Amino acid sequence: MLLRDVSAGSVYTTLDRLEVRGLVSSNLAEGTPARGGRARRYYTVSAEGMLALSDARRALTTMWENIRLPIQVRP
Amino acid sequence: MSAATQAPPRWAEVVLEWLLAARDRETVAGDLREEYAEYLGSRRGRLLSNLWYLREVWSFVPGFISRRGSIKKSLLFVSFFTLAAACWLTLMEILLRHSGYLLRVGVGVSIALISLATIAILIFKPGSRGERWLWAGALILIGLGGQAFLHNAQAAHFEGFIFLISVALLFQGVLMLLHRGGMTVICRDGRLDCL
Repeated sequence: MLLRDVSAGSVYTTLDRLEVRGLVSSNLAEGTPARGGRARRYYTVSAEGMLALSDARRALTTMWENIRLPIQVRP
Repeated sequence: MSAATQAPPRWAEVVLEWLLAARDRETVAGDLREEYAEYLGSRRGRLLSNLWYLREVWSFVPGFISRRGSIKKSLLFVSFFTLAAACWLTLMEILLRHSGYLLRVGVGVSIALISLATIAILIFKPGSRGERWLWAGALILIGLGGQAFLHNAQAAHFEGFIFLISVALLFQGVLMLLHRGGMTVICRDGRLDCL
């Protein structure tokens, strides 16, 4: 499995963009002492987001189905 | 360990909060504080945990730069820095009086005046006629910064402070041009807007 280290900046930028597009929604919850009392934001995938996710997965699956493994490099 | 001892350096948190949009300031800083405590708890040590935290803080810089209005904020910040640096250099030149110091005093005063004018326009007169002339100041700063950078790179003794100031001048010049040009960007709410 390919593990990729993703920075926090990338994650939150992506979440912001998804929220702007209406694919996720968020709500605030109270903070805890471990967070220095800072509020926590919970994200929920919207119905539109679930459809987009299904579409993306279908596209990816279709792509892989049409690739014959193992992939060979032409000489 | 208490929550306080598991907290990242306060100054790093301040930088993070400054980089974040108002909406994310509390929540993201809280998330990273929790992650920091987990990282520290996994016996990686304070130094590695701090480096990890700084790397995470750094990852918010691109978003900060591209965000609407951030150019103005960055320009203000760098203008204050170059103003202070120019005043310091000018004062030192006047006190030490090495040969040709008058020319360098003139350069220092010019940089200080441009930075001061930029700060005054951005704070007190945004959108005024003076803002249209930022490009002229920008060209002067880019010229001076570029010259200082090249001169320092070719010098027998590399001077860190001059390098820092030359980079700051180049950065300020570019930001002034971007501010003046009204770059069109995609805002957080998806609209096309000007910086």
